[in-house]
Amino acid sequence: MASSESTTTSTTTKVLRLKSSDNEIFGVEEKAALQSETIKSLAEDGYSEDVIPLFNVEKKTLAKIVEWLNKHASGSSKEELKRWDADFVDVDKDVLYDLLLASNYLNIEVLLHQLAQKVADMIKGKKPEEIRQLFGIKNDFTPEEEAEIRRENAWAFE
Amino acid sequence: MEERKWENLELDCLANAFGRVGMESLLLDVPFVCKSWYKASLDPSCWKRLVFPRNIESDWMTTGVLLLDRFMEEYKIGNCSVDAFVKFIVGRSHGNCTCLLLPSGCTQEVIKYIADECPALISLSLPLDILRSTIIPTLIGKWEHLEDLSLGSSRNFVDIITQISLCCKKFSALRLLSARIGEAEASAIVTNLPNIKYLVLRGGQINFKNLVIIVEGCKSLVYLDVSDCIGFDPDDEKVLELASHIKTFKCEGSMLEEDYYEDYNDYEDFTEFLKLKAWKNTRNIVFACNPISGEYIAIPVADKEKNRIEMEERKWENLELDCLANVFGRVGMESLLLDVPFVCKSWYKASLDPSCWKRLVFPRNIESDWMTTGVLLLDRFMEEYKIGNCSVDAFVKFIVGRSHGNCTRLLLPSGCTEEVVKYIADE
Repeated sequence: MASSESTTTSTTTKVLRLKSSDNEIFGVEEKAALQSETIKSLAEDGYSEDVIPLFNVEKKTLAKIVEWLNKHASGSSKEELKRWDADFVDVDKDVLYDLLLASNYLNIEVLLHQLAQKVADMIKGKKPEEIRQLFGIKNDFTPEEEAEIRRENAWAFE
Repeated sequence: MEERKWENLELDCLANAFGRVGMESLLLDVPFVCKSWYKASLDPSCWKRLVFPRNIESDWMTTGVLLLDRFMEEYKIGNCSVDAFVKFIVGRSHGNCTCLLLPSGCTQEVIKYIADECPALISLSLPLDILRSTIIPTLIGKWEHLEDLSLGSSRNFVDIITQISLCCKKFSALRLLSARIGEAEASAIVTNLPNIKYLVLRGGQINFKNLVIIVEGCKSLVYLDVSDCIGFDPDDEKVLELASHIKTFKCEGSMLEEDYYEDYNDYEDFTEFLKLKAWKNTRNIVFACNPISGEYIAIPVADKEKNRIEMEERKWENLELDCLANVFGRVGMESLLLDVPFVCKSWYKASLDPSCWKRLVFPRNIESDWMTTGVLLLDRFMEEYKIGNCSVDAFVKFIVGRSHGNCTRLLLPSGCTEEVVKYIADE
C-alpha cells in the first residue's frame, strides 16, 4: 500500500494521497480516508487534489493507520472486523502509544476508542507500582505529596 | 528513537483511556502512578461514566474487600457513608456525567443531589432500594436528555414512565428487571412510551395477553427481551408470530406459570431453585438469603399461587403436618412469622412446628435506622404482634426458640450482642 500509486481506473473511486512527517506518501481511497475527521476537514479545505500533509504521523504509524482505514472501509462482516481489530491493537507498548496519538490527531473516533480501551484494560486492576513498571513511568511523588493527596479527600468526609 | 513517555501523553488521550479503567482503578490506583496521571485522573471527562459496583459497603456477610472499604483505607478516612461516597464521586464529574449506575444503600438525599448535579445524564440505572422513594418520579424532569433507564423494581413504575413521556424526548430504552408486568404496567408502557425501541423485561412476570398489548402498542420495537419470564410459553407459535417483526426477540427460559410452580416443587434443594429461577419484586414476595452467594433474593408468591393454596387448603388440612411444615420452611422468615400463621387455624398450628424453623435466614438488617427507607422485619413484627419495644437480641432469641433445637442453618442479622451467640451455642 506504500507509495503514491494511482492505479484506479474507475472514475467513481477517488484516491487521496497522505504524506507522513518523514515524507512517505500513501494512496488511500477517499471513502476509507474520510473516516478520519482531520483528513476530512483538510480535504474540504482544498487539499484533496494535492498531497495531504500529516506532520504528526511517521510512516511506520501511518502505514498501520492506513491498514486500519482500508479494512474498515472494505465491507467486512461485524464478526470478522471484531477479530481483526483485536489482532490490530495487540501490539507492543511503543506502537500502541504512537497509534493512540495518531488516531487522536487524525480524529478517527472508532480506532481511538479501541486503542483507549486497550490501554484501559492494561491499567485495570493493577496497583500504582505495577502500572509504573508496565509503562516505564517514574514515580515523581514524594511520600509527603502522596500522603497529602490522600488527606485532601479525607476532609470531605469529616 | 525517541522515548515514549506515558506520563506525558496528551491529557485528552489519557483521560480517554482513564474513563475506561473502571471506578476502582481510577480512584485508587491510577492517581498514584505519577503527578501527570494524578492530574489527568481529576479531569471531569474521566468521570462521565460512573458505574458503581452494586454493593460498595461491606457487612458481616461480605467476603471480599469492597470499594468503600478500600477507599476509606487508601484515603485514610475513618468513616464514610454510602451517600457521602456517591456524592464525592458524582462531584468529580462536574456535571458531565452521562451514564450512572447507582449502588444500593443510597438515601433519597443522594438521588436529589444527582438530579441537580447531573443534568446531562443519558443512561441511568437505579437499584431496588432507592426506588422505594416516591420522590423519583418528581426528579425525572431534570434529566431531559435521558435515553436509557434501568429499574431494579417496578415501584412507582407508572409514575416514572409518565414523567419520562413528558420530559425525555429522546428516550428509547427501558430495562425493568424481575418485575411483574400486569395489565396496568403493559398499558402504561404503550401509552407513555409508544416509540420505545429497546425493552428488556427479563426475569419478570408477564402473561401472553399483556405481551400482546406491548408488542402491538409499541410499533418501533427493534429489541425485546422477555427471557426467563413467567407467564407465557416461549415455544408457542402465537408468541413467535407476534414478535416476528422485531429484529431481536429473546424469550429463552420463559415458561408458563403452572410449569414454574411445578418446577418449584421439584426442587429438593431450595438454594438451587433460588439460583436457577427468576424472581420478582411485586408485593407478593418473600425475601430470602441465598446462603451460598449471600445475595438477598425476592421469591415470588404470585396471586394465582396464593389463590391456589387457599382454594386447596381444605385438602391440605388433612395432609400430614410435616408436609405443610416442609412448605412453610421455605417461605422465608417474614412470611412464616407474619403472614402464614394468619391464613387459618391449621396453618397457624403448622407454622409453630419446629421443623418450619430449621433454616433461619435473617435479613441482614432487621432494625431500621435513620437511613432505612422501607419497613424492616423487626418493625413489622412489632406492629403485627403489637409489641411496643423489641431489641434485636430479644427478637433473634424468640425466633431461634421456635426451632426448639432443630435449627440446622442460621444466618444472623447485624446488631446482635454476644449474649445471643451464647444462647445459640446452647440452643
